[in-house]
Amino acid sequence: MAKTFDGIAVFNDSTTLARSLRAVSTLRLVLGLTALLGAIIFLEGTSWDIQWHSYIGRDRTLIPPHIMMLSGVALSGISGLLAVLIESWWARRNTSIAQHSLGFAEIFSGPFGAYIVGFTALTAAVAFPLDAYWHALYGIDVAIWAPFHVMFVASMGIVALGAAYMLISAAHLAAASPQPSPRSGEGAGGEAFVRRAATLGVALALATVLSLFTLLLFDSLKTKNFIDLGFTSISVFPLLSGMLVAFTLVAAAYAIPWRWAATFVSVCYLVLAGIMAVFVQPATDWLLAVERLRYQEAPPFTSVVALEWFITPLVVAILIDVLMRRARRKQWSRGKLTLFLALTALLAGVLPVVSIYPLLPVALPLELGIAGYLASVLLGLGGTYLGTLFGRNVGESIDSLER
Amino acid sequence: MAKPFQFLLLAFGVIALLAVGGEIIYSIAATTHGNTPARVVQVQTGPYPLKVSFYTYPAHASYALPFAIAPLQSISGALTYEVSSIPDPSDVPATPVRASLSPDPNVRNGVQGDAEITVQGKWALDIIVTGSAGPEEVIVPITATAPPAIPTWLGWVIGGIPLYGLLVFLLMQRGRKAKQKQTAVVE
Repeated sequence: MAKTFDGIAVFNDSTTLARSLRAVSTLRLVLGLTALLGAIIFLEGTSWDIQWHSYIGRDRTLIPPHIMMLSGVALSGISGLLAVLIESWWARRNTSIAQHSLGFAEIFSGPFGAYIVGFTALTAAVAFPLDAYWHALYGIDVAIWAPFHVMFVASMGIVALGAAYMLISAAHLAAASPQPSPRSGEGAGGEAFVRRAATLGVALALATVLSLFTLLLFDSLKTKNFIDLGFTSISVFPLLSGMLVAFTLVAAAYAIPWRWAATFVSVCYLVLAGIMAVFVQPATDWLLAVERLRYQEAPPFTSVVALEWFITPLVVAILIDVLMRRARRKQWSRGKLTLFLALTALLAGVLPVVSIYPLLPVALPLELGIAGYLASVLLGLGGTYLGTLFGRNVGESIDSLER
Repeated sequence: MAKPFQFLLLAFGVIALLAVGGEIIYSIAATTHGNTPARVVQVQTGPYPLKVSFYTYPAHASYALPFAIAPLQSISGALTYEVSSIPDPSDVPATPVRASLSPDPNVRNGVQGDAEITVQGKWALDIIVTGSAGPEEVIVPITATAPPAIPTWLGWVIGGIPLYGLLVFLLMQRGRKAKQKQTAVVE
C-alpha cells in the first residue's frame, strides 16, 4: 500500500483490497442486523402498546411499551448513522471502498440501505412527539389510522426495508471481494458466513416489513372506514392487504436465491406474531402489578394483535414459490407470471383468515353487499398487480445491488 | 439522485434531528421544579391543611406538570401521599395517570412530583393523604392547554411523508433497473 500526497491510499495488493472490502461487508452485516433488530423491537413494542391501550388505557407518555418502541427507533437510527459515518471515514482514506459506497451530498459515503434506515428512523422519531401532540388535542380514543400513528409505523416498516438493502449489499460485497491467495492463510469460510447471515437477515427484514405494515391493515376492516359511494360501500382492505402481501412476498421470491424464499418470509412473519403471543400478555400483567394499575376490561390470554394476525400470507407465499418455479421451468413470459402472481396475492385481500374469527372472509361480503364486495375485489386486484410490479422491481434491484 | 435534492434531504435531516433534540430537552425541562410556583392552592384535607404549588399553569397537555405539596402547619407523625391526575369525563377522553412523587428535602412531610396530563381540557389532581388521623382525599381542579390545533388534512399531509417517500422510492427502482440494464449492455 502506498500513500499519496492528498492522503488517499492506493491499493495494489489484492489481499489488502480483499481485507478492506470484507471489513466493509462485515460492518454492513452487523449494522444491518442491528437496524433490523431495532425494527423488530419496535414491532413487538407496538403490539404491547396496543394491548396496553386496549385494556388499561393510555396514561403516561413514557410508559414501558412506548420506551420499547423508542428504543427500537433509536437502535435503528444509530445503526444507520454509524454505517454512514464509518464508511464515509473509510472511503476518504480508501478509493476502493469509495467505489463500493454511494456518495451523498458530497460529504457522506455509505450503503444505499443505511440512508433509508437513517432517514426513516428520523421520521419515526419526529412522529412520536407529533403523535403526543395529536393525542393532546383529540384525546386517547384515536384509532390506529391517525396521521402520526401511520407516520410512526410506516417509517419503521421502511427502516426494515432499508435494513434488507444494507444486508444484501453486505452479501454481494462479500461475494465480490477478491479471493485471498491460498498462501495468505485466509479461507473463504468468512465470506460464505457473511452471505448466509445476510441472506437470512434479508428474509427476516422482509417479514418485518410485512408485519409492521400489517398493523396498519386492521383498521381497514372496520365498518366506519368503509368508503360510502352512495349506492354501495367499498372496503380498501383487499387493496391494501393485496398490495402489501404481493409486494413483500414477490420481492422475496426475486431477491432471495432460495426455492422457498417467499414461504420462509411468511413463516418468519408468523414467528414474529408468535413472539408477541408469548411475551405481550405476561409483560402487561407484570407491569400492571408493578405500576399498581387495573384493567378497564378483562384482557385475552394472549396478545390481541397476535390473535388478529392474518394467516393467509402463508398460503399465498407457498403458491408464489410454486408459481415462480413453474414459470422458470416453463419459461413463462414476464407478463404472464406477473398476472398469475397478482391473482395469487389477491387471496390475501379476499380471504383474510385470522385465528379468532375464521368467518371473517364471509363477514366482509355480507357487510358490503355483492356490488360493494365485487368493487372492493376489483380494487384489490389493481392493488395486488401494482404490489407485484413493485415487488418484482425491488426484488430485482436488491438482487443486483452492490452498494 | 440530483445534487440539489441531496442537499435538500440533508437539510431536512438536520432540521428534523434538531427538532427531536429540542423536544427531548423541552420534555426534560418540563419536569423540573422552578423557584416560584405559577399557582398556589390551599386545601383543607380533613385534619390536614395542605398547600399545593403548581410550577406550570395552565398545565401543558402531553407534558409533565411539576407540583409540590406541603402541610400548612406542623403535623405530628408522618404523612404519606398518593396523587393522580384525573380527567373530567364530561370534557376529556382520557384515563387517570398516577403521578411520580418524591419527598421534598426542604419541607417536613412535604412531597414534590410530576403529574402527567395527556389531553387538553379539564382535569383534577386527586390527592390522598394518610396521617395519624387516617386517610383523607381532596380534589384540586386543573386546566390543561395544548398548542393550537393544525387542520386534520395537514396532519395527514405530514403523517404521510414516509409513504410518499416509499412511493417515490418504489418508482425509482424501475429507473434504477433500466439504468443497470443499460450499463450492462454498454459493458
